[in-house]
Amino acid sequence: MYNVGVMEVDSEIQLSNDDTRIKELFDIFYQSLCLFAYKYLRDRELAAEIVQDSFLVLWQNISHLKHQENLKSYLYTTVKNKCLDYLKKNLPKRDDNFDFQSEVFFDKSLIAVETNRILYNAIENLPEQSKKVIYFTLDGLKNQEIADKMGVSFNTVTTLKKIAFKKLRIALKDYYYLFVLLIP
Amino acid sequence: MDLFVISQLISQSVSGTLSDEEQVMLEKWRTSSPQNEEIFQEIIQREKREEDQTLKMSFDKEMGWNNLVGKRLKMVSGKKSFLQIASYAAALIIGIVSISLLFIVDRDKSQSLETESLITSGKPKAQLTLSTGVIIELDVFSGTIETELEKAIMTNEGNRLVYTDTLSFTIDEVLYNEITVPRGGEYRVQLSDGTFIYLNAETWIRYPVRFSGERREVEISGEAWFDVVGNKEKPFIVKTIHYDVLVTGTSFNISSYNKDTQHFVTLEEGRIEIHEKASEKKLNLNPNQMYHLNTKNHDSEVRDVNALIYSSWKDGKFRFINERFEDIAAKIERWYDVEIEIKDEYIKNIEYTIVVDRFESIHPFISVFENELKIEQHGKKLIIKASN
Repeated sequence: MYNVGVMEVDSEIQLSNDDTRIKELFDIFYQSLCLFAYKYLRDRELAAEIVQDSFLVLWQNISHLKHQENLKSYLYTTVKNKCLDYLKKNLPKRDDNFDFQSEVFFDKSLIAVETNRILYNAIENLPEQSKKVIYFTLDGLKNQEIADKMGVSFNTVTTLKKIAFKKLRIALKDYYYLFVLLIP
Repeated sequence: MDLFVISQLISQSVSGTLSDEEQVMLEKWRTSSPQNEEIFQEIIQREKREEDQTLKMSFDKEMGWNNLVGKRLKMVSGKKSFLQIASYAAALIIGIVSISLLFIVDRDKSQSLETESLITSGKPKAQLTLSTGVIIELDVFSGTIETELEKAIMTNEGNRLVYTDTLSFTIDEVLYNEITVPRGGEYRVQLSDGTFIYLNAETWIRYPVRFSGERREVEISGEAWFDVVGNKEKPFIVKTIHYDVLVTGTSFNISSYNKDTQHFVTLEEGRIEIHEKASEKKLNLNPNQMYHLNTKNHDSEVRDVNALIYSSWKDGKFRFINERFEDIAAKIERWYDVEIEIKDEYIKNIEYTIVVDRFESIHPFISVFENELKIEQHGKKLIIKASN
């Protein structure tokens, strides 16, 4: 681990586009990929390590990889392969003999992680009040219960909910159409 | 079907935002194999989702990025000069582009002063003073506190005190509680209206057990991050020695130590109004603006900033961007409970950019400063001098 201190003098450094793209991808996918790796490894530190190494691989190769969609699959696949390599070498450490090489396990883990990422990302971008309403709704609370918790009227909750769902629908939809366009 | 599209559809399904057409697509996938249905059923479980979310958020993004940059630098460092690499690293880590001299300190290699054992980082620690004058050490005792006079119930979790309930609504008298956080401490409190306050080291706050009347008023000296629950009928007012902050539902950071001359309020979200006492001036703050009052000359200004930097302490980070040594030293003194004596006047004005974990030892700071300053340690006192 590095601790970094910097002293200000006058000089400039320009980051390349590739660096900026890596940072963007990192911000979007890092935590999700860690969760994904964790599903294979059941070890948080190891999971983080492997995800960082996967980003390192992407960083080396990003200038040859152009398509945004490819990059996402590329990341998930790289992480998976690194996890499998590790598990093959260190198999005795896991005692619950699950079939880590199975495609179903990959599919299930990827869908779980991506669903989580898309959902929470859309919710987190909602305005504060709408966000609260959606979280309470996902927790299974009734409108009246939400009203009590938030200290607002029943009608306010109904209105907030309507607005929140409208926004959420748009947020999730935009994303979806982006996908449809990208899939040949 | 593409796994990413399936994920998209399930996220819409969970949030109840599927169109009929999409519903059909999802069902088609679900019925196409028993395995798919099994995957679907497992993913939509609330417990599972929440467990995943908690786990996901437990991965520290900033630390991950710093590690990645470290690995990347090792890879590219062959051909370039130290200064080039240093600048590159700084730009990557802090995300700004006009930086130059940088020190990468490898924790394992440089152990300079014997500071570790004697000087430790802060931790949750605070005293609660009830309206009767009874004092409770919050970091020692945890559980439910019920008080006869205040008719209130609080839950204390060892790092956070929550006013959960009031036993009666019939008391008209306003009763106050106080929390005092010592040097080397921090604590969190949630007031009866749901407002959340994160208190930094050496901070005192006084607030009513229950907010009655037309205003919600609290008094503070020190540093705190507020997340105020909005209520237009009952504005929230934070009183400091030199100014009041009028809030209508928002999050912001206050750094206003009574004995200090420099006072700051930084707004993250919402809107606040500052009422200066001496000048009777009123100033409005928008998100990502900072109010700065200098009581030496009673001068104040509002400027644009990245507000998150100023509240990063509450997320367990010290993040100083071009901060003066003197100001950094004051924060180190409070958090590590040490005394810092600066022998040479010019040192006070050296600017540093440092990002470190707050719960680490003081060592990363020492390592950075030692590059150009001389540091002597006498117990819990550090003396800083020019190095030659």
